[in-house]
Amino acid sequence: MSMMAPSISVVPDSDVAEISRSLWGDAWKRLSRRPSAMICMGIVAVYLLVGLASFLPVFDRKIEQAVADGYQGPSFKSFDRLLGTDIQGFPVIWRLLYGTRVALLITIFASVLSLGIGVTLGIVAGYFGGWIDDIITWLFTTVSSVPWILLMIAMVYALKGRMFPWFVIENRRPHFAWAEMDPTVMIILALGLTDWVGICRLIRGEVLKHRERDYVQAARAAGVGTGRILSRHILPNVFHLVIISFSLGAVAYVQAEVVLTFLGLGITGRPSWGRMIDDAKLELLRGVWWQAVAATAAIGILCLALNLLGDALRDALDPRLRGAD
Amino acid sequence: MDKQEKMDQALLEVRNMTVGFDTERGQIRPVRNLSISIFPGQTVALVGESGCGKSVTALSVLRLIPQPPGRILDGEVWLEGRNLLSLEERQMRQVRGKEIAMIFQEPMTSLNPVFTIGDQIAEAVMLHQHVSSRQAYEIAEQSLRDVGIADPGRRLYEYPHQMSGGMRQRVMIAMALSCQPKLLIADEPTTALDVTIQAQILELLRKLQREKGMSILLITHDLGVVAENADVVGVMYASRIVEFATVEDLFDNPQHPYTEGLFKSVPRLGHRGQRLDTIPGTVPNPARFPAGCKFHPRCTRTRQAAMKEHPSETVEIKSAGETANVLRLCAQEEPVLREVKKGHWAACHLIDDFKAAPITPPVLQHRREVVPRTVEGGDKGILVTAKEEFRQ
Repeated sequence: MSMMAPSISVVPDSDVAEISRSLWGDAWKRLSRRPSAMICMGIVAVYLLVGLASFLPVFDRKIEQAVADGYQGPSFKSFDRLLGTDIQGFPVIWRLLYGTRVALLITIFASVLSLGIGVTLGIVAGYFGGWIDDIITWLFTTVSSVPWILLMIAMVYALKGRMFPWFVIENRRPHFAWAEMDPTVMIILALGLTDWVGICRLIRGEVLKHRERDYVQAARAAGVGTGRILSRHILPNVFHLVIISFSLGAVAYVQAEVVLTFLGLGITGRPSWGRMIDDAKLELLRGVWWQAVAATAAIGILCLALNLLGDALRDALDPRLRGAD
Repeated sequence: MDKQEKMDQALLEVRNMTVGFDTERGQIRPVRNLSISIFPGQTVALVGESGCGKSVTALSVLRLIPQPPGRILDGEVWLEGRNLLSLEERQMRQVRGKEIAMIFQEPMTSLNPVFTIGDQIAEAVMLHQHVSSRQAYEIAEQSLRDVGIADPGRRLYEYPHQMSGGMRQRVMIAMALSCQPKLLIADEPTTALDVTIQAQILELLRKLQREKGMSILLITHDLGVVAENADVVGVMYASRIVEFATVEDLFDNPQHPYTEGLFKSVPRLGHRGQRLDTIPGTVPNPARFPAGCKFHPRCTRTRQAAMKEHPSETVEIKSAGETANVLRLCAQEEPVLREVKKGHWAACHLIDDFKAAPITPPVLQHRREVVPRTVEGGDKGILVTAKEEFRQ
């Protein structure tokens, strides 16, 4: 130690001299090293693109154009007949592609709704504690004590057939009018308002942990206000949970649409994967299998990809694994 | 006000502060009737074992104790003519970080893991100074340079996990000093660091104090750190200051039996093959403070005094599984802090003429003479070298 110079500046270690990487940079690097994760991400991206494309008006036309007689099997004669036709001769392939629109709408908006509610309540409960925590904890324990499928069905029944004020555009004139709720909106509300419990509980627990961390104390000692501590210091530290929940929650939402529609509570008036399976339950007895297989495969592949991706994200974002590679 | 006058006026004055926490077993008081003054450019150390209330004192000054369950029950905290305890929370936020900054024990967890060093320092700067983010980054870079971090321009863009403990503590200090606070509260700043880094950080604090003329409230349990950096020392035991003196006075002539015990329990160079003295028993839990002097169950002085005293003046107590006789006075009446000698306060019945000593607020303006030294490192006991310096 006698060799130590009187100067007290610190020489950087050579092994930290690489480029700076953030938490997200690190996670991306770890994710990109897993081929299965990248394949799944590719699959999800394809679904996303198809889902976005399905908003084009051409899809609305195609699903209502009979291309052949009813119940024609799959054939390679034309793209329209690739997956056969349904009872009215409408092309199954277009119905399937159109179904991604519904799936995408439901997944995105139900996730935004449920994650928004769950994250907000979770952070507030975890950070403030006391009676605020008591109320929120009571709320989510109560909600979670009812089986969610029952709760969701009850909610759909409550919303079904009622008139709500809607913002509509008629003859290019936007105005409010009373109308029945669109089934897609109904499913989004039912899912979003019942499914926030899981993420809320998760976030609350994590915030309880971070609240006591020294960096939060240090931020307060530097004069940072409560709102800023929550949004800038705590939220980014728990945000990986939101991403994982989104990925795994999407699976549940796609499935929930199918379940609700199969029970006759979901989508009406336009094709969705749930409707296709619902239609197919009678067709199968007559040996018409293509509609059921197409919809099931579409759901199965998406769910598998999202599940695997969710797992990979969980591994990649797990702070305990940081620096392990 | 000229400069000298300003130096003579206390920057921070804590008057008779009592802090309470509501627990399931009733209210506990981790800090009771604490008074302390800090003058510009001065380093005041609070020393004591874990749980004696020194960290709660520091957090209470910044009003950072969790409320509820914590509450400041009594007292005043004056900072340059303003009572911090009567400020609005919004005004208090302007004090935190700008007038009084704080650094913590654990540099490994005191930085937010998801932001770069530069982001975090710049955030602190922008909170208190009206500057653009580019200027804030420039200030951040300069403050990293001030704390001796090489290549600060690049370090700004690094994350906390890329740095060692000593570096992170430097970053914490840089962040704390980026707004030029008048007072720095350092809560065990070197406890989590190894000895050579400890010495560097202490040297750095001394250097920055000299350059910027700020005051430091140093919270520690390490007498070596006190000897190195403090001008004035308050020894805390069980929620109260039991002794208050200049660092030289305290090390040469400790008055309170607890302070004596602390010095005896520090290893010394050149004393081989002897067992270290320890203070028997443990620090009492604030929920179950003993009556009378809080130190009497562990005190050797009262035991020795009891042997010479008439049995009617003593009581038998159980402490750490043993029974012992102590003075009735010690077991029943809690001594208050008295000025037992000029500029030396202590709270012990068994100091000569203790009853006659005046009760005065503990105020010491003393600043030690600056002895510029370079860090020599961990092979020499810091405490011993520093004590040797005083003796000469």
